[in-house]
Amino acid sequence: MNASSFLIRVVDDDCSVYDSLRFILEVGGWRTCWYATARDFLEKDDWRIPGALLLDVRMPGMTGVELQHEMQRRQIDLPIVFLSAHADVELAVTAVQNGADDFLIKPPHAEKLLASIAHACERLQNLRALKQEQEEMLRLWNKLNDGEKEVMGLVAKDFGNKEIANLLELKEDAVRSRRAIAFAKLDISNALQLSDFLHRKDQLNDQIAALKKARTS
Amino acid sequence: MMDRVRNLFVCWLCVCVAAGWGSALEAQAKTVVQIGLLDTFAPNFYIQNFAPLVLSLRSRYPQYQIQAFSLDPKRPLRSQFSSANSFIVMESGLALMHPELELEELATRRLTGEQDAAHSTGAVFIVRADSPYRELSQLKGAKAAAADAGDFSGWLVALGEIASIAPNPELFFSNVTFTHWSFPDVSDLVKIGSVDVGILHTCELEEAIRSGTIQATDFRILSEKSPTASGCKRSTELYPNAMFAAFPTAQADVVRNLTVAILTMAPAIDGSDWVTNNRLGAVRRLMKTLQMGPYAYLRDTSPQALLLRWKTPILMIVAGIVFLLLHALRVHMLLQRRTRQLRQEALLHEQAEEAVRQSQRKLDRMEKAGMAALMASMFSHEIKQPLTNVANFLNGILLMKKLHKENEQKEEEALQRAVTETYRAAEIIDRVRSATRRDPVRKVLVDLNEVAKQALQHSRCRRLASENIHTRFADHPVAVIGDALELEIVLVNFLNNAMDACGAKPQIAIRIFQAASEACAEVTDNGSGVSANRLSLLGRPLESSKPNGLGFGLAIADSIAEAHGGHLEFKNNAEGESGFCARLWLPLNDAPSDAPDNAK
Repeated sequence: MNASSFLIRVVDDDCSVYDSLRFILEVGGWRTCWYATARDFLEKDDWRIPGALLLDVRMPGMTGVELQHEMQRRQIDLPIVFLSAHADVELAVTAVQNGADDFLIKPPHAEKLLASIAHACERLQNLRALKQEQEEMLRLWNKLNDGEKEVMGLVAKDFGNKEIANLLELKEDAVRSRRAIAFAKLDISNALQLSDFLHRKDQLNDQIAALKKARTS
Repeated sequence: MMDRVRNLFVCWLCVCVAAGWGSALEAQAKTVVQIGLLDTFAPNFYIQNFAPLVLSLRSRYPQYQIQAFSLDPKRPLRSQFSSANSFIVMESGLALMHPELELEELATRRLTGEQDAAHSTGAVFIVRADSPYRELSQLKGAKAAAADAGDFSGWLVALGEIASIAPNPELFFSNVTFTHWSFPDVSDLVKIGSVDVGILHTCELEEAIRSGTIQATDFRILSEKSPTASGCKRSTELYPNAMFAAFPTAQADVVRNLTVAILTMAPAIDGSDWVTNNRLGAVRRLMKTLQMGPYAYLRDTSPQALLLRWKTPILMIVAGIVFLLLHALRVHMLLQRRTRQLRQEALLHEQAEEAVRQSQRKLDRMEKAGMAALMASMFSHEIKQPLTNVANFLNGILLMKKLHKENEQKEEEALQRAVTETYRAAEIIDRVRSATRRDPVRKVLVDLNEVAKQALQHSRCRRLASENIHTRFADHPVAVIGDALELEIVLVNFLNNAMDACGAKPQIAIRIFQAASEACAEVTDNGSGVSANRLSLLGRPLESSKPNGLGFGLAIADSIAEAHGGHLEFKNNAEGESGFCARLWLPLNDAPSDAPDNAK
């Protein structure tokens, strides 16, 4: 994982805090940028760039927790590492339960901070890769019309053409032609590959869900 | 001469009676009618009025045997009559004096010229023409003469007149001579000067002048009023004169016959006749004034009589008084009740106010506590920022070294930034400090004993029973310079800490004493004492051993002690006793006349 390909967004109303955090992060090889308020981040940030958020809890205007909720609403998937001056256990637990990757107390231990950031970025990277794969598979699958999908579903269950024709009350010819077209669309050549394809499609859902729940230890 | 005339007529009457007697013997069945005369009239009355009356009746009613005679006033009147058909001629006024006779008034004599019989007769006061008396009132204590004490038209009427100018008319004159119609008569006595004033009937004077007995110029009349209809002079009110009355035993026929006869009789020589419409009001009034006759009871001034007479007004007054008393009582009770109500309301009001004040105080205290917590929180948050930054910069440098990513320029920058941040932290601390700086201490003379007493009242120790708390104040005032309230805060803090430290059987002692040039307020307890470790931490803020404490109590106490030029001392009790001892040392103010500015 190349740290420099990630952008760490620091959201804190105090500029000097950004300076000191930036110092450590750059030593760790990360790229950084600064937003003074949560609204600035929402308006100006391009969240497609992979990275993470270093978020202060107590800010004027929208607080860190409120930003977390807003990001969930907009389905911004950037991971959040909270950085707070207060050791508020309840706040921390709630924040993490709501999806934060970590909750650190100022001043943070340098290694801990870098480790949290790294972990968060890695998770994001994996997540996005999985999502991308899922997207591609879905695109292929949605090329099929309903009839073809039906046939594919039965082929994956190891039914022969004749059996499929009986079940769907079709001519065997129709079944065979549908099957061929579907294979071509999915860019596969045999039933085994189909089985892999469908298996993989399901697996991705679980993996993505699991990754979403995974947090730093 | 009067007597001679009278005697003549008496004889003549006897002759008539004798003649009548003869005829009476013939006719035994004739009704006997007796007419008695109570002669208190003027001498001419008998000749001019009574006798003609009797004769007229006799000639009118020959069927009656009419007997006429004079009555003896000294004997009971009724007993002097023997017939049932008895009639009496007497003065109208006198009849009122004898209500027991139950006389029925039939007719009253009316004088010439008068409209009615009620104003016929009165009296005159005569004095010698040369006497000095001009007014009736001047006659007080003088000597008087009158015909008879029972003479209505004379004496009694005169008394009535006197009653109108003086009380107790009977005691008006010093001496009264009654002539009883004999010689010398009243006018004689006045003329010769043995009395100062004489009382005559009206017209008696004129009669005497006419008959030549006296000269008009000899006498003068006092209190002269308008003359009577017949022209006689008078000094008094006028009253009815002669009355013809029947006893209740008289038969109705006889009464009617006689009445008719009298009323229809021709007038007498002097022009008087008899009428029925008499009014006795004036007579009654006179009787009442003189308290005679039916009004004799008025003379009874014994308490029982007075009570009976005035019982109606007395009853009303008593009722009025009772009503007023009851009213006053009721008002009093209402007032009491109302006062009680008001007092209760006032009490409730006070209690409510006190409750409000207490909650207000509680609120203030909570606010202050909240503010302290808030300020502490704000301060801690603010100070964390620069400290975080310093940590970050220094950590970053360490990391650089660890990862072998040395960069001298970057290091220097980071170190510079770290230093700047420490200055920033110091600034924040300064700002907070100046916001909470104490006012300079007020410098007055304060007695430490008094401070200790107040502290006991205001600390949690006030709830202790007396066997748990011991006070050993100095027997003389221990004077220090400073602010009594702030010193009190220190001792309250010591006492509260002692309370908290003690367990089930607290024994807390507070002692004030002097040592050299210092004064000391000491609080000892029998709690568990304080470990040596904590002993060194005492007075440092935020190091409280209490669950909710900020540890400020002793820190504030410390700053107060310092501001007063003193210090705190803490130690565990001596070997053998558990417990803690906290002391506040202050410089003693040994020069009592020191001006406050010269405090050490």
